[in-house]
Parts: sequence; C-alpha cells; structure tokens
Amino acid sequence: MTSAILWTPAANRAAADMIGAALGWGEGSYTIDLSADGGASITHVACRADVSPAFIDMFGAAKAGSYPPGLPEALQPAIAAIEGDFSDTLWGAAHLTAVLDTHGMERV
Amino acid sequence: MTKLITTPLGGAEGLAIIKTRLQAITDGCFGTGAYAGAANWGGVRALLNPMLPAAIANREAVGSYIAKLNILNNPVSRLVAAIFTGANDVLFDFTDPVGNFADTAGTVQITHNTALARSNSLINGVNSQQATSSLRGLWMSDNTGGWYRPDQTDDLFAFNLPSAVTGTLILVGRNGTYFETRDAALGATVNVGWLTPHIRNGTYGKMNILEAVGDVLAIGFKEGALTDDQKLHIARAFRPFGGGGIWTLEPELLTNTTYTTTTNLTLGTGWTHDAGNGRAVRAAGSAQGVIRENPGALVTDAFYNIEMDFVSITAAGTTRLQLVAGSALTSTSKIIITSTALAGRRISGVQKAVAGDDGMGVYGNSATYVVIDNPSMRRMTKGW
Repeated sequence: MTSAILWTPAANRAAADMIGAALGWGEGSYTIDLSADGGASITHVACRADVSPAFIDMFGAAKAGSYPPGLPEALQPAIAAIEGDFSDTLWGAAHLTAVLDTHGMERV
Repeated sequence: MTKLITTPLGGAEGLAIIKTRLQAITDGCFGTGAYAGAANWGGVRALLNPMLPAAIANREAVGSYIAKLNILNNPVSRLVAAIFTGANDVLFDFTDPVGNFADTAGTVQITHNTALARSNSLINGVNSQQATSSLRGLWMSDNTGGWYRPDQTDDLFAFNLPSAVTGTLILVGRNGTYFETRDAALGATVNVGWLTPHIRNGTYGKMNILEAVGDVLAIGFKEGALTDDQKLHIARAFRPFGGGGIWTLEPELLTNTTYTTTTNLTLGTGWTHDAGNGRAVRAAGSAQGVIRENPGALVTDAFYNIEMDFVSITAAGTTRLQLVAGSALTSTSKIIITSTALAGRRISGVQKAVAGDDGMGVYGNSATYVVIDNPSMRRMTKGW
C-alpha cells in the first residue's frame, strides 16, 4: 500500500468528506486541521490514508476531469480543490510532516 | 510443573508418531485439549522448524498461540483472571488475530498489514469500531505475534466503557508501556489517537504519548488504581510479544518550577512576570515570543515529559508547549493548546529531543493571551 496525504481548503471540507463517503471511506475523513499562514485559524484540512495504485490512478484521472463512476456530479468540482501526495517510503506522521514542510503548512 | 521432553524428534520416527507425541506433550504441558487449540500439524511443524514448508497462516496461528502460552505461563489470559475482573475493565489484545477484524461487523478476521476496523475486548463485551477507513490503523504481525500501528496523524481507536468511572488507561507498546489515570468526569468514551488522549475531543492527558509507546500490543482500562505489581504484571505479560518496559520519569530538569521569580527564565517578546501571583503572563497584541528555561543539552532521541499549568487562557491564538533549542521550536510533534476550554488544566505531553535541544518553552503568537505556572521537564526512561 501507498501512504496518501490529501488536503484541501477548509471551506471544501464538507465536500471532500462527501467524496470520501462516496468512495466508501465512511464519514469524516478530513480531521487534520492545518494552517497555511502559521496563524490559529484553520485554512486547510487533511487526511492520511493507505491507498492502492488504483486509487492513485483514479485520483489523477479525476483531477484531470475524468471522474469515477457513481460520484455525484455536484461533488465533481470539489475534487479539483483536493491536493494529494503519495509515498511508498514515508508513512504516518513522517509523511504528514514532510508534506507540511514542503507546502509551508502547520498543524493547528 | 516441570515437563521433560524425552521423545526423540530427530527424524528416526515417522511423522505420525512424532505428531502423536507432540500432541501428548502439548496437552500434558498446557492441559487436555491444548493441542486441539493449536489445531494444526502444519503450523506446529513449521514452528519447530521454520525451514519446513507450511502455509503462512498456519505458521502465524500456531506461532501466536505458542508464544501466548509463554511456555507454561499463558500470561494474557492470566491477566484477565487476575487483574481485569471489574465490570468496567476492558482489554484489547492485538497480539493475536483472534478478536481483531477487518470489518466493523466483526466477520472478517484481521490479517497482516490490513486496516483494523474492529477489535473486541477480551472481557465485558466491549468493542471498538472505526467506521471511517482513513482513521484506521494497521494490524501487523510476525512470528512473535501481532500489533496495532496507528499512523499518529489521524488514526483513532475509540471505545465506550460500560460506565464513566475513574480508572487507569493502559497502553502496552513495543517501545514502552504507559499508564495514565483517567477521571470519570471525562465520560465513558475513551479515545486513543494521535494526541492520546485526544485533547480536542474533550479529554486531556499526555499528548503524543503514542510516539513513546510505539506499535501497540494492547489497550486496556482498569477501574481504579493499579498497584506497581499489577503494572509490572501487565507489562511483563506482553514481554514475550516484544513489549517494552514501563515508562517512568527521571528527576526534574528545570530549576524554576514555580515562577515565583524569574531566575533562569528568558521572557520572550510579549511575556511578563506576575510577581504577585508567581506566574507568567502572555497578553495578546505583541509579536510572537517564547518564554523558556534552557537548563542544558538534552539527549538526542530521548523522550521528555513536559508539563505546564495553563491557569487561564483568554485567547488560545497559536500557543505551543515545546522542547526548544535556545529560543527555537524544534520538535515536529508540537503540543498545541487549541482552546480556551483548556483553561485551568495542567497540560502535559511527550516529545523526542532533537540535536540542539536544551530546554522547554511556551510559544505564543500575537493572539495568544494565557497565564501559565509550574513548568516541568523530565526525561523518560523505561524499565521492568
């Protein structure tokens, strides 16, 4: 399995959670609160998950506008606002830390 | 009871004879029917000689069973009989796939490197379910047994006690074993997650403790206090599965632990000393700053327990309790004070020192408005 960090602007949390639910992940996947400006306010939210190569392919295709079957049309635009980082060498907190460092975000 | 194994098993006899004698030895040592519990000739043979071919599942099942017996001891089941006897006691055992599942319904037994969706307590019919797949940790195993590996980012293992009672939360890990008193006022739901106990869900306790515990062999709760002997009993029961010793605290490293003076304190930007009350105050409005004491070089990669009373929190802003290198915040596992609701609490956490760390401090940004007191920094060591 590959470790995935997925993050999106905080305003997109509900839609991102609904996408996760539509993919069978259950409710409330995006529980990691982030700040992109070092302040106390939450600017982004994230989740970490173990994903398959098929998911990575699907995610890339969806970002390019080819959405997975069954995904409600109203949720399709929200995928564009979800960013992803995938790693076969980093996992868990080490992966999250690396992503946050790269993108200048902090956990709130 | 001492059993001497005198049967030659070196190949002079046929497999059927060896099998019969192994059955007798197993039943003799562990009680009638024990071999049936082990159940599997292929697995026993693989256990005795790992070079022989056998299905991985057979090896794991029998290897786990024999390890759990700990040769005439059977430590985990003894724990339940000896310690976890109360109506509100629970014990989740991850060393064995039995009782751990890949689905929340509890119909698919867990296998190596699979997300743990449900675990059943060995007692009192309690179970933990995680319905959100991205919040599940992994269940992993080798020939010593199994363990639960939370990702320490968002994975959450939660369960409900039969009643909200004061007791002891138990985390047995391959890196160390940790016990923490948990107050009944926190309610019946126990959360073990990235900030164990998860401070944002209304509980409070030692944050980042999972980093010190490591891969988790068992999670338990025992109503009331545990004696030192009971703690040792629990930790040692899991030692055959790779369990680490019990985390304890070494002597205090800070010299100014009361804030009655400013001796050895560095008051960063925005911090003032309230001499009348013997506290430090950070009022909102000034630039970010760190109040700190730097007693000397910390041991790189050692774990430190840091604590502080947050007497009041008018505005949480961005407030962090941290190990520091000079005035620099170093550890990535920051202890974040997120809410005014935490006012009046003593907040504690664990951080691993990085090269250059020499003290602890509290960081506040321009929005932080807090009053703090009674800091503590103690190295953690573990033993039996």
